[in-house]
Amino acid sequence: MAVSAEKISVHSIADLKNTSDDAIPNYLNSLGFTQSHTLSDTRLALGYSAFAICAATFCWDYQFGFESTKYYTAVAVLLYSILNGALTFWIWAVEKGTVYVGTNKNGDKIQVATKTQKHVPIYNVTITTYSKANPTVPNPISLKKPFTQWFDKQGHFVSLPFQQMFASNVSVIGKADPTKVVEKKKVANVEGANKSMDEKWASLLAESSGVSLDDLSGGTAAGTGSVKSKGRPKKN
Amino acid sequence: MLSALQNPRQAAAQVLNFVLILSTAFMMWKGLSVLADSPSPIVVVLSGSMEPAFQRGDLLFLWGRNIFEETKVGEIVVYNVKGKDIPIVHRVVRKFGVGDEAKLLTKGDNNLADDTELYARGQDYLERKDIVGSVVAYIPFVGYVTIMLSEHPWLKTVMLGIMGLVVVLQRE
Repeated sequence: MAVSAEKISVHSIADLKNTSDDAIPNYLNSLGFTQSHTLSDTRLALGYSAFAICAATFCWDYQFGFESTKYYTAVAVLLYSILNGALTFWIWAVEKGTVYVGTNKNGDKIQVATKTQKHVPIYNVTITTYSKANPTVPNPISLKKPFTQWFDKQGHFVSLPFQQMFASNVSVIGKADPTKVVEKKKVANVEGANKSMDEKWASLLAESSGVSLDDLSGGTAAGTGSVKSKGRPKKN
Repeated sequence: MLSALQNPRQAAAQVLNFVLILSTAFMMWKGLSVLADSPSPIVVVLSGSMEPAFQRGDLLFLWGRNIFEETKVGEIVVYNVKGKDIPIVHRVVRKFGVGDEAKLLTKGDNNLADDTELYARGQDYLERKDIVGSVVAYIPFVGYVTIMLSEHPWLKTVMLGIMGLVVVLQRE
């Protein structure tokens, strides 16, 4: 099973989110999606041109003093605030936490945005797909999953359940990676707090054995189904 | 941190975060300078020559524009002596003439004599262009940090180092 060698602090939401965010491009690019960097490149261009203006201002101020350059400085300050405002707007209104934009060979576009709330260890993922036939109609899917599903106790990132989450919920990804598609899930649910302890254990066990079996058998849905434990009707 | 090195875009974004904090601070300072028309709109009092009005470490806000009325006697101004780059905060006590050519004499409230001793050789008075700005507001004691920093320069290096490290290592 693919487990990262790097460990993170499981109590740091930022670490959890950043590690997960970084795993998304890795996974989707490996499935043949072509990543588009337009959003982040625009952000970098805005940011660095603002910085260039600032550097230039610093240089002429240092070289020629304040008095002889103050009108240039005034213009530079104005430009800088406009660029910085544009940057803020871009991050806040256009990027909105987007971590991945990509297109697959069929021309289907996928955009993944993630978000976490302070001190809540739940990963909010919004995957918006645009099919080639209807490139203007967004098809958003929102997921809310606890980080515990793909981080172990030590803080290792476990890629399989993470990838299964995407493959099972998003059809475009599911088609590209059918082995990772898992039937409607069990998983040690943070949300399902009203289950009894026994049921929780059962689903936990099923989850862990299901995952390992998945790996061995190449992860057919039937393979996972066969080890599912009591109380869950088999659909296939 | 290591993963950032493998991904140039992410590295660039992280460096940008750090760089934008510095440049925004610098541009805010410059914006204030332009607004107040003063090369250094905020200064810290370094000496006790204006006590009891200002103590060492007080933070002063300066305004360098004479829109409604020109600098007059009684105003507290900050000026630079010709050839020296040390701003001095003193009160205008005499004024001869009007406009930009007016001759101004300053004195520290806590000093016995006026500033003719302090001025450069051959300089007997100040002109409007020597004045960095008039004091319009102040915050007591806040500037003491900068006095500490200038008296113990190694503190600056330590502070910059810590700030840089924190920003580069964190991605929050």
